[in-house]
Order: sequence, then C-alpha cells, then structure tokens
Amino acid sequence: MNVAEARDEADPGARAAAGAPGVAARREPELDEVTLRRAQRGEPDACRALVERYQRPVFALLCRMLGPTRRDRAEDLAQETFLAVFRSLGGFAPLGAARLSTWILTIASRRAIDELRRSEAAGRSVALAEDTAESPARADEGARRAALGARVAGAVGALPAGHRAAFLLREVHGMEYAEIARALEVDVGTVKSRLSRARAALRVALADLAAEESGRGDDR
Amino acid sequence: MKKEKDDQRGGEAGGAAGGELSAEEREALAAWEVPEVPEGFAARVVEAAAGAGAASGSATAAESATGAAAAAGTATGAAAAAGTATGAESAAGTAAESTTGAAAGTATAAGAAAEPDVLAGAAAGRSGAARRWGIVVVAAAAGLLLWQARGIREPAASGSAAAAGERVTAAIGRRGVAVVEPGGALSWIVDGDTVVTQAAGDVFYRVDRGGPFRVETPHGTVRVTGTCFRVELTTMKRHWHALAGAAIGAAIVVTVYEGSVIFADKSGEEREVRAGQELTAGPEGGVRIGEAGEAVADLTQELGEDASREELLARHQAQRAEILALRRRVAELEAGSAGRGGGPGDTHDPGGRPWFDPSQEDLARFAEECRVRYDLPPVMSTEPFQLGPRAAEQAGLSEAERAAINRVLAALHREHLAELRELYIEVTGDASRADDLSPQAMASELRDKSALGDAERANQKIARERAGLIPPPADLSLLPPIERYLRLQAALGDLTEERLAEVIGRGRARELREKRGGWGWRNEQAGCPSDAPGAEVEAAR
Repeated sequence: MNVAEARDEADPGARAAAGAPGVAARREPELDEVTLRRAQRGEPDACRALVERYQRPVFALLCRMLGPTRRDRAEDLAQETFLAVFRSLGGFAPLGAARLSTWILTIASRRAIDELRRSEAAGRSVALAEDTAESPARADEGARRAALGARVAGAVGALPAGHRAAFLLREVHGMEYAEIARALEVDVGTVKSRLSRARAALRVALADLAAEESGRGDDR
Repeated sequence: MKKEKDDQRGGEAGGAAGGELSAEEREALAAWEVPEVPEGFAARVVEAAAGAGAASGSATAAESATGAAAAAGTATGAAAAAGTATGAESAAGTAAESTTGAAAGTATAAGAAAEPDVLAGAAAGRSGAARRWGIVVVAAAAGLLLWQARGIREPAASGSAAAAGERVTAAIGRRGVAVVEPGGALSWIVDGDTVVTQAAGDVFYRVDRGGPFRVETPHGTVRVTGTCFRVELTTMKRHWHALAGAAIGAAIVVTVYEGSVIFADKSGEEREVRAGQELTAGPEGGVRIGEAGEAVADLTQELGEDASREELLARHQAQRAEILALRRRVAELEAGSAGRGGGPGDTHDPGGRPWFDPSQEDLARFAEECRVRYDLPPVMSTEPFQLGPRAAEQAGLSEAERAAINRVLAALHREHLAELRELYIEVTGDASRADDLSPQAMASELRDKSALGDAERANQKIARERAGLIPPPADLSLLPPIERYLRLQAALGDLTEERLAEVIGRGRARELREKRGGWGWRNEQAGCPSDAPGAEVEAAR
C-alpha cells in the first residue's frame, strides 16, 4: 500500500475529492511510501525523486502566484520550499492530516504570499498580466489561447495574494476547502468567500474578452 | 479583519463559493501556461540540501549508521506490498549499508544503487524473528545485502498484513510480533528503526527492547522501546460509548500491558501510557488516560449500553486471558524458530541446506501450511540494481563478469517489470497509470484487486507442486492474475541463477546464491484458502 492508498483508506473523503466538481486537477499519485521513508532518512536519490515528483506543481503555483515580473523569484522560492520540506520531512506522518502534495503546496503558497507581501511593502508593483496580453487580435488558435491565458492571469493576478492562493490551490491544484483553510490559516468560510471573489473576477475578465472579440468582429 | 468577515458573509451569501467554474472557464484557466521547471533543478535542490544539512531524518540516520559512518551511512527499506483481504502478504526487503570503516562508510541504496546488493556479503543472521505457521502470515524479507556481520543492525525488512476473516500473526523484523484481529491492516519497514503503519483495526503488539519502534496511525503515533500493547482504531461511523452514556467518540485506544509507550497525537503533544493504563483519544483530540480495567469496562461496543458492570469486567477478564494466550503463542513461535532455523535472518537451515532450497521434509510441511518460500533479485525497485566495482571485487568477479552480471540483472528487471505491467493492466485496465506507478505499487494494487482467496489458492497450489504432490498447471494463461504474478516472483530465484550461470558458470552462480542464502530479497508467502486443510489445522490450534 503506498502512501496515497493508505491515506485514501484512512480518509475516504480525500479520494472522493479527486473527482469532486470544481476540482480542476486530477490528483496525481503521491510519492510511494518507500521513497518517502528513504527521503525522510535523507537519502539523496530519494530526496531527488521527491523533488522531481513535486517540482512541477510547486513551480506552477509559484509562477502563477508571483506573476510574470516576479517569475525570476520562482526558482529561488521553489528551492526554499523544498529545503523547508526536507528540514521538516522527518516529522511528516504519511497517515497524518495532510497529503504530502498538500503539505508541500502549503509551504510553497506561504512562501509566495510572503514574497508578494514583501514586494508590496517595498512599493514594488506586481504585474497583473502576462506580456502577451496585448495580442488578442490575432486570429489563430495559439494566439487566442495565449490571450485567454493572459486574461486569466491578469484577472487572478489582480487579486490580493491570499485570494489568489486560495483560487490556485482550489482550481488548479485540486485542494479541498478545509485543506486550503489550513494552508492559508483562515477558516473555511473565508476560503469560500475568497474563491467567490476570484471566480467572479475571472468571469468578468472573460466576459470583457468576449466583448472585445465580439466588437472586433463587428468592426470587420 | 473586518473586510474578511464581510467577504465571508458575501461569499456564503453568494452560494457555494461563487459557484464552480464552467467548462469554458476551466478551458480558460488551462490556457494560463507557466514555464517548465528549469533543467537540473532537482539536482541543485538536493545539493543545496546536503550543503545546508537540510535533509531530515537526522535521528533515524544516526540510528541507522554504525559508528562514525553516520554522515554517509544509509540504508534502504523495501516496499511493502499490501496484504489481500484474506490475509495474504507479500514483502520484499533489501538493505544496503556500508560499514566498512568508521570513516569510509560509503552509502549504498536501493533502486539505482551505486553499490551492489545482490552479491554483497551477508549478515550472519540470528534467528530471532518469530516463524509463521499455518495461516500465520509473515512478511519477512531478510536483508542479505550487508557487507559484513560486524556492527550490523537488524537486516532490513518490510511487509504488510491484513486480516479479513481470521486473526493473522506477523513478525515485524526480529523484535516485534503483531497479532492482527480481523479487519486490521498494517505495513511496516524495518531499517534501523522500525516504522509500522497501522491503517485500521485492532492489533496487539509485543516488542522486544531495542532501537526505535513506532506505530503510526491516522490519529497519532505510538513510540515504543520494549513492551506489550494494543492499538485499536475505530472508524468514524463506529462509536464507543461510556458506561454512563456519555459518548466518547474514540478514534484510537492504546492499551499497555507491559512497559510503557509514548503516544503523540496529531498536534505532536506527547503522553506516556504505562502498564495497566489505557489511552483513548477522539478524532479531534480529547485524550484521556485511565486504568486499563476501568477504561475497558467503559467500552460497551459489543455488549450494548445496558450491559452491567459485571458483564463488562468479565469481558475485560476474557480479553486479558486472550492476551496471555497470544503471548504464549508468540513464545511458541519463537521457540519453534530457534529450534528449526531457516528463519528470515538465516542463510541456511539447520540441516545446512540453503534457505531458498528447503528439504523435501520442509516442502511437505510447507504444503500443509500453504507456504511458498522464494528468493529473488531486487526487481521491485524502479531502477535495476547494478553491481558496483567494490562488491564485484569482494566477490572475486572480474570487470568483464561484473558487466555481464549487470546486463543479466537489468534484463531480469526489465522482463519482470514488463510482465508485472501487463498483469496490472489486465486487472485494472489502466495502462496510463501503469506508467506512473512503481513496481511495488502495481504489485500492491494487483493484490488488492484480486478475488478473495485467489492468493491463498495460489499459495496452496504452488506449495503442493513444490512438494511433488500435484503437477504444475499446463496452461498458465488460464490462472488468475495474482497467481501468475506469484508464480512469476517465485520462479525468479532459479531464473536468476540460470541466467547468471550462462555468464559466470553454473558452479559460480550457485556459489554466489548459496553464500547469501538467496538473491537479495527473500520472501515467504503463506496462508491457505479458508476451506483448505491447513486452515482447519490452524483454526483448531
């Protein structure tokens, strides 16, 4: 039985959540128990396997949290995240309250929030949109997709860090409300309200984009 | 703060967190692409972790290393394979630890290990682990991969046990015995320290004094040095009630019969539970420690809430009597082990036969017990083992022979993985997941998804065939997948010897295998189908 299977047995709700409505990402299998145990003992190849297993979601979360202008910090924060993971990994209980992925993403999201708050405190603005945001007129599918992505990035990037984190953890990384609440150290009601605002912002942005595209179509 | 509160009201008033995203919105979200992970990131992180001393597990690493090799010493556990619903088990264990000198302790590891494991020197194992008999299920994979006997701790082992309809007894390394009541399930890894993961049910443990031994549960961890104790886990749907009627939604009950244990709840708060005491903890905490008799008397799960105190006390007396009987049984197992040899730590049986090649008399006994003993190279790792130059030199192998052996090991690993993958897909129909899972995970799922009793029937048939009581099947393709898998594993020891004989000669291949009492991993699987004579014998004991 690997860790994920053991957890699912211990917490059937976790398994159900993987297919729950509103969860965008299918939960990938967690790191197998043997590798986890070896990583807990500090074995380099197992530590590396752990990083390789979780680096993509961590990077994705950090890049989306930080936005394009702070993306250069993503690798540093990802590295800090994994170093923090290794420092505390010995105490991680495979059958405890958190999945390994949830735990790691929690650490990453807190790092990102701290970084954003530091940036804001220092008066640095956080870019709200991707560089490609100004190219919606191109008709090809690739450009349309890029514009769509940029619009989403802009909408989510305009949110406060905590709202952004809640949205990404839920809609991209498939975490449950309670898990997000623990990760962000807020109550579940707050998570819901943040999600509500984030989804509303996304809808407004997409509606604007649709209106712009429609307007361009009418002009032709 | 006020704003958050306002937001909260607004969010809740607005429905389920603003409503889930539509398909179009999800598509838009998916269009939000991010850069790929920079190349070499994982290696840089691990390097940074090593430099910063960030790697965790310092306590266990110190435990696992011998002497001054602590910094470099490491060891590997082998994955546990889950038992099937009827108590079948599987285990594979391996260890690799360098203890060749206080300062020169270079680490070896499983998987893509830098150093060899298959042919490395074997520990002179004492026969301390309890032997199994009848339907007793023990996963006992000896660590055969240790360089020298000197300074070596208990061989690495791992395994799992699950009990569906009958009680199952499992030896956990050399120090522990677990008696798993029906409905219980656990897995363990012994590798310096012993970590048992109890996922469900009621398990009685007896642990000899020694290094760290802990039982991890969803509700907390029980840390032990040497003791007898019992851990009961209940589901949320099943409640225990106090005699007075006050509900105690106990998620875990730890009863200590000898010695003491430390219970750490999910928050990490620790409490000592001494002999004669019982700890109960609810799913959200609420830990209580009381006298075992009194606490047990509180539990009216089977007797009903109207049971009298006398009835409850009588039940407790019966439970204590049962514990004493279990302890006697454990003692018998250990005595049997000492007398018969051939335990998981031995390379040879008392008659001098290699562990993997039991006598005809033993094979006949195994047939009664539906027991199959086999060795195999460490094929359950994600990557094939490769024999390192130092181990090859110690084994007296030339560089050309080492290369040839490595080719054989790689081919065996590849073939085993391909067959396991095919079986996995046959059972699950999920080819994409097969690409993501480790061999251990696939094997575990294969067992989990096999029909009730198939694994036991396979044990019985294979054991009888080996004893010459029945002929082998003419057409393997007609057999259940789990049986084909068990046959695949059980044949790997001989296949490895055969393949190696082609490259280093028959005598040499046999010599290497005998020296270790088998290739790398040793395993026994036992358990008769419920209608088999072996099961009846067991039930009568």
